[in-house]
Amino acid sequence: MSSGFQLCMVEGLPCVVRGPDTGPRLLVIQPLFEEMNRTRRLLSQITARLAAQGIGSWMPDLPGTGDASGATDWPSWQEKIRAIHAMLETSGHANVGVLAVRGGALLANGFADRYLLAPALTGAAVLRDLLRTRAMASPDQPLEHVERLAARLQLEPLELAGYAVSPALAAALNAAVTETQGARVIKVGAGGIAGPPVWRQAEPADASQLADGIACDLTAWISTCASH
Amino acid sequence: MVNAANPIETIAESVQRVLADVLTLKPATAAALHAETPLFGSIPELDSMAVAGLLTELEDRFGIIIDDDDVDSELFATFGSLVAFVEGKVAN
Repeated sequence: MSSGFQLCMVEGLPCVVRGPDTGPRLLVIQPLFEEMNRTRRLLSQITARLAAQGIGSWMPDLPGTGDASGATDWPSWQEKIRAIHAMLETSGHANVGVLAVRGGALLANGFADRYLLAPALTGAAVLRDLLRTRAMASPDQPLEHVERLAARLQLEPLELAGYAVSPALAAALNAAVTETQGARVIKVGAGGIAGPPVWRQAEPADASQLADGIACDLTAWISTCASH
Repeated sequence: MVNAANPIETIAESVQRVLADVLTLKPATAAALHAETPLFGSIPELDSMAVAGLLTELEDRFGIIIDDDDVDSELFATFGSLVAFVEGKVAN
């Protein structure tokens, strides 16, 4: 089994495709914003291990993130994820699971088979983290600016951690809550699969063992998903 | 006081783990942390950008909310001051 991958355009988005398209298939919803970059290596390790087990994966970059063009816009993120999921369901015979990581879990609501890895439970928490990071980057009086930044963000777009965040995107994030009921929810670290929270690390540690643990659990999980 | 991060650890042990994980500290550096160990300004990995990730990770692990008003230079003065802060939040 090749450990390589293909970069395809799916629904106008660059999408890393690994593994066969004859077996179980997984749509991967990456973390949002900076956490996506920090998690990329872990996700490529996980999907390479899954490919070796005969599980195919499709991992798109959301509009305006990674290598995808377009605006960072919540409705278009939801629409693209739904469209790719529908495309995978209609083009294959096998079941389609959804692996959603961190803030990506907010975009997984409504799908039948959801595996949520270290999910962000609210979009408000994701937004607060972005605001904090920007506040800490200000040279003076760290963190006192968070409230003021949040107020400005209601009126005008702000650049947060390198992304243009519009008032509409901020409002959508503030309203978004991850549905955990019916999903397999896996934490990383204590009480979950042992390993470092790479999405928090400026220089993510090697997490090969974590990738092994998650890939193993995912392989068992996807075999229990109902066939569509 | 329930330690949501890990019931079989003390809060100090869990805070030590969070610091080690978020800052990718060497195991020896993490193990040597004690109440009087100075943090901000003394541990090179702990810069202002890392503070944001650290706060969010503490919130996630312990199931607490940290008000931005709570955060000042005293909080990260020593390992002991950070642990005391988390213990206070967990107790509420």
